[in-house]
Amino acid sequence: MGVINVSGSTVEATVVISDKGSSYGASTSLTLLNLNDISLTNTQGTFRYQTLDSQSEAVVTTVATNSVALNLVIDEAQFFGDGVDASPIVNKGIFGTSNDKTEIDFRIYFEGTTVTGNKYIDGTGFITGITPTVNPGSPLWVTPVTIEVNGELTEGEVS
Amino acid sequence: MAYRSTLLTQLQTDLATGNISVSTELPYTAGSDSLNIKNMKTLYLDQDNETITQNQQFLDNGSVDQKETTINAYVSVDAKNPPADLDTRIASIQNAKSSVANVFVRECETTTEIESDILTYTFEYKFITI
Repeated sequence: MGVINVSGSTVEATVVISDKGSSYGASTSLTLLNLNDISLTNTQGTFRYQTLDSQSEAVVTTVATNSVALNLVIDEAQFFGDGVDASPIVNKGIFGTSNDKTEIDFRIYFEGTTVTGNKYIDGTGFITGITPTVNPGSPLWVTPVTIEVNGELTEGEVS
Repeated sequence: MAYRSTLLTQLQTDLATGNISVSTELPYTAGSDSLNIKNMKTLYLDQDNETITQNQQFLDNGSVDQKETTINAYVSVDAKNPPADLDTRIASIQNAKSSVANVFVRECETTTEIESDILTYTFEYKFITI
């Protein structure tokens, strides 16, 4: 119980993207570097209706819209890929994976990847929303990245 | 010292002619007066002052640091009888900031102060690099 403080060295909020179905193996995954922030969205769809016996609307939930948004300072190797690896995501990088519309697995570690029992949320989706930006007053390339989730989000624990 | 050295070289070229010269000495105080008061129409360039701050903070406890370097320069002239080419020389001193390479901010802020009959210009050069 308690707040989740990610400022310690072993409990950092972490995002791993992986080739779909590869179980987050080290050789088929990228642990995203230089993350400024992460936002996980799980928005339930709703349907509102009115009845003659009530002065207020009722509501039922419908399907959810799930997505992950993050901002990062671009690491060249991760963004463009190494161009040689057998793993598509390592080979193509973030940009190539987005450009090729390749489906990926992702996992958001709330408290790092090493401490047993710490929580994560994972799912499958597509990288989109890449908008690399740079200007003379802020000379590092930064970009937002969105993962549009395909289906359910799943909760798990580091084992 | 790197930026002071670069600026000094540029200023020595730009102020080789005209009524304002540049000294390689630091603007220390000799007796009761600072050198720029004692030797008017001579520009004195101070040491580099450096501040390191975080330009980017990351969730993995990493960061990208930036280094801000400020250097002050001082020159005093007779307020009653300023040199005829004062404006030109002031512009040259300000433009010397362009001689510093590989920085993403290069600025020069100029302020003036009159005490008795002495007009003192203070130039604050600012350079920022990642």
